[in-house]
Amino acid sequence: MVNIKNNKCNNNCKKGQLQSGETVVVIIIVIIMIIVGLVFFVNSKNGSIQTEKQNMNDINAMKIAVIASSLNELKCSDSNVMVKTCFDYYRLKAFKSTIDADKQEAKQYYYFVFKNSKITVRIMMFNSTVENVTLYDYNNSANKSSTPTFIPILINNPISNENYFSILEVKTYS
Amino acid sequence: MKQELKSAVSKKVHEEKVQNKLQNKSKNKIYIPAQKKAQIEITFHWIFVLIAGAAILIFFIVLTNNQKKDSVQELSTIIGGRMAALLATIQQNPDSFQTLEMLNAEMVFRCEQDGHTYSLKDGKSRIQLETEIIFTPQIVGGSKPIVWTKLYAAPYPVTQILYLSDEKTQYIFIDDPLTKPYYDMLPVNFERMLVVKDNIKNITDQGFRQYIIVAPSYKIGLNSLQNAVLRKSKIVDLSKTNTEKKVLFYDPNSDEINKYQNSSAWKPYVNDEVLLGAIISGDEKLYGCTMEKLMHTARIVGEINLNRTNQIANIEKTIPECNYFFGTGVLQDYINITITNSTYPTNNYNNLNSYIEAINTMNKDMAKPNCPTIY
Repeated sequence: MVNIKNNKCNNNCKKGQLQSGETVVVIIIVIIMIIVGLVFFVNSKNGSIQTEKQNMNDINAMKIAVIASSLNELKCSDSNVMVKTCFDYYRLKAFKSTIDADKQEAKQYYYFVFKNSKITVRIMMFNSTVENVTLYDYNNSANKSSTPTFIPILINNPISNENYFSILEVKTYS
Repeated sequence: MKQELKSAVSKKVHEEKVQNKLQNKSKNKIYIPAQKKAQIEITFHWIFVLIAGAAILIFFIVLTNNQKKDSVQELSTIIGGRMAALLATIQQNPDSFQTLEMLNAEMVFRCEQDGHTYSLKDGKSRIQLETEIIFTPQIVGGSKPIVWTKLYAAPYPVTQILYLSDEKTQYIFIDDPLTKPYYDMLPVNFERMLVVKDNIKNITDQGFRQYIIVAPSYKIGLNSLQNAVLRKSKIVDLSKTNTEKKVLFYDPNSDEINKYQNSSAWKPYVNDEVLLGAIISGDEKLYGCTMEKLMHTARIVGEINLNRTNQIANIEKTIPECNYFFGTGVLQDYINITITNSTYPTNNYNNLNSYIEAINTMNKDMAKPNCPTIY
């Protein structure tokens, strides 16, 4: 019964208010749980993206190393038979000067092949000196850290017919 | 007593007045009985729950849709990256053949304004094939991919050509002296079939995604093929391979049938390795994109060989046996002409082929007096 003179609710009125409040609280809790779930999901997704990115960088580094060690324009050949894991000494020099002179848009072409990387051949000459031939060097990324790959290569001098041991170093900047 | 009666009456009148006042007040206000109030409250309660529930449901539906799109994008990027690395590695093995693991997704190769690209069939992002020399049909995937490499030489080794197809593309060769040699060159693992001219009408659709018909003339294919096969077909016409070293890519489902009457519809090729690429792709645009890249690579490798020849010439021209090759500049001229003629599009490769042959002959001659050879 409503006591209009005093304008106060009795127990029934309080029950109704409590019930409405209950529904609102339940919905708020559900929304909070959804938000917490979403935050957790996004964080885990972030982690897996970072891992995948690192994997792709490693695959890319290996791909560039394989391509660099297999370039036909550097391989030595004898009577039209190409020799694997052997580079021609004069082809190395010619490769470097073609890129430096940007003949036939060579710089852009090899950028698409090697991206941000540095390719060096360290040749151990007979008189114990080491000749370094930098075939390609380009890095326009902010990251200066690199993943080096080393591949042993034989260098052949077609004029003197001498062979030198060397290391092909491929650094990729991720 | 009179006074007492009077006060009792006035009290009663006052009470009645108060009650009347109350009744009037309640007449002016909306008076809802307690039971009806509860019913309305419950109704509003349910409306509120429905709205909140619908909002949460819509939120989850939108989230799921976005997640689905993102996962397709992610898959597209991962497959693209892995495929690029795999193809680059396979390409370094000359004259090799491989059947790869089942590729569940389908990749679409395009040659458009943004260059030579590939993407997943439902994916949005496209991966550029900037320098890869790869001949493929338009769609590869949904089955085991087949990879074949051959060396392109001009005549010094230039690059490995990669031929990529799959088990859902069938190559039908119409038996003829023009087509038979290329049927024999194609590895057996490719889905290939040799058909006598009289049996063309008996070719039925066996569920392949695409048929690439290699014919001595595109008209042979058109007149005889069943519609179910023709709908999925492209024809590679080899009628001018012996005379002009040109090939025609005929699409029987194209709207521009008249363009095939022009001589410009015929595309030149350099040698058998390139013609095999035309057969594998069966598509004029994709062939054109790959040829442009191949010729660009040939020019760069030519420059490297020219530079090397000049370096060696400075040392070797003093040796009498090698003076003819390095001292006269003939070799450098031949290489220069080869570089200049390595272009696409072009009218023909007759000039290129003759100087390739000249360098080849000179290389053999250089080997005899033990001069350093070009390759």
